[in-house]
Amino acid sequence: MASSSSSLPSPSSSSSKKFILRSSDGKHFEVDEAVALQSEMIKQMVEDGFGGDVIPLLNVSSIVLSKVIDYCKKHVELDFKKKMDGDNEAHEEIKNWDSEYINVGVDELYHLIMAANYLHIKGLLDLTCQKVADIIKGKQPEQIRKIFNIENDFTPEEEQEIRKEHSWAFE
Amino acid sequence: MISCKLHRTGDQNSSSTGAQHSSAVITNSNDLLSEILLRLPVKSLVRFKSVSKQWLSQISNPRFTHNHCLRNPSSVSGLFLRISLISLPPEKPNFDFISLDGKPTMAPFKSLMFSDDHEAIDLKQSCNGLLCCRSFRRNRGKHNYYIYNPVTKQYTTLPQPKGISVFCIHLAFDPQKSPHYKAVCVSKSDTNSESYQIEIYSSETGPWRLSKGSFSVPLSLEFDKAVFWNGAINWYSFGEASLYFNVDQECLQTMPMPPLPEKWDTKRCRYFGESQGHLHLIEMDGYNAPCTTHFDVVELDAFTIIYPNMVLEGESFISYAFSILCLVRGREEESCMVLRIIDEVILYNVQDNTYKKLHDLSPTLGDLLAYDGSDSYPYVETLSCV
Repeated sequence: MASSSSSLPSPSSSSSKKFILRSSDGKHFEVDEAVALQSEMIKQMVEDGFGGDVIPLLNVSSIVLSKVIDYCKKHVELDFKKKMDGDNEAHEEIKNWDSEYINVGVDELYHLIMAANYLHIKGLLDLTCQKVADIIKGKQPEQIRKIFNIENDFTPEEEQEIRKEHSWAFE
Repeated sequence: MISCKLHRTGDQNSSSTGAQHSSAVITNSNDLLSEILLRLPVKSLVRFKSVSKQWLSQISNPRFTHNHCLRNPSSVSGLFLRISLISLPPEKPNFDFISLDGKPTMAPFKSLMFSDDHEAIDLKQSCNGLLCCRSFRRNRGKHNYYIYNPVTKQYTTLPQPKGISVFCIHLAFDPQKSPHYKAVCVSKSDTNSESYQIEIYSSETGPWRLSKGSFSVPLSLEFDKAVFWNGAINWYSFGEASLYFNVDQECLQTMPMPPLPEKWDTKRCRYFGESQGHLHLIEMDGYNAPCTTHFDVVELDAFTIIYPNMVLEGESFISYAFSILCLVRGREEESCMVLRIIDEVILYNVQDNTYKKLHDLSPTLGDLLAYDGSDSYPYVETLSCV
């Protein structure tokens, strides 16, 4: 992982504790403690005394993990900046960075949701789920089935009845 | 274990297979599906009930609907206007629907008819998305009362209160505090015909229960004009004091009313309603159609006059025959009033003094609307269960 080239006094100084995360495909990522602890799941593991050298993340591939680490690093950095510079500016920067970050294809989005859920990273789960919600908000049920690959298990009569009952929502 | 291979470019087939696989993982997990659905507006969710049985059950689940309410604080998106053709049998109230965003929208209903009761139903109160409805006719001397959610089309029939002579039943519902609602019934006291008693029904714990004590009521109190605000049913009175009933604490208290301004002969309530946690009262001089376009809106909780001398001017305002249908406070400082002027419904922005037409009423029907705005009921989209 390339280290962040921030000129700010960074919380991730070289003296801080490091964690090594191992992806499902066996790749190792060294990250600062603050970055790793963005994940509630890892935090819980550490609190429970699972302090081994390498933390195996069985459900996250290296491509996804690298993207997740980008998110955690940036948010550690921005949280620190928020403390130093005050709320407003940092808040705007987080918003802009997040919207750029989440501008990805649907399959990448799904993988990020699953990783955020597995690793318990609330901010990332919020961001990814909101993105999916924004994508599907104005769609029709047929399009939803296609997007999520869902089988329609209603009989035509049942479906007709539900649609008729809520016809105002279909205009 | 889930294998996650990402294909940003290239291999189309395996990419779509991967996406299908992961999308299935997401939609098969009720937790993840719920995380996404919680972020959707009510209208999308109602439409998505027909996606699949799993989606239908998720969107109808009471825990989900409550979480959705907490996450998405409700706001008024439209108004139901009663157009009661009382002169024409059968007595069946019809409702006009006015969407506040100004776009033509299909009405959630035109008249109320619940399946096990072919009686016409009237609307009595709108409270944070749920409607309190009443059968038009009496059955063995008593009206039936219903709680109805016009979004989900779900309704429930309230059991009959024990009181013999029922004056009114009011709904107390605040989804930000609880997914359950209560109903408050005022009837003549069983023991003393000069006084009144209150019974409470809870959707959580069931039957009507008599609240302690009987009480007397100032003659100036109007039972029909009640607003649920700040955990209490507040009644309007044209006298010096009125009453409110705190529903959770079950205590009845006196509420001072704004004094009659100098030079006024009488005062009449033109609007009594709640918006964004504020109780608003608009009163005017006299009983006839108002002969002024200047009026004060009193915010009862602070007793301050928030819109002094609001001036309505417009070429189309031939006379001052108007009624205030709704006062909608914005999340910020901006507030709007929905007004009916002759046969037009307009949205008036109080801050910048601008207005736009929302709706045309047919002239004959316009005449049948009450001037005090009591024929108007806010529409709030919510998934709350009844």
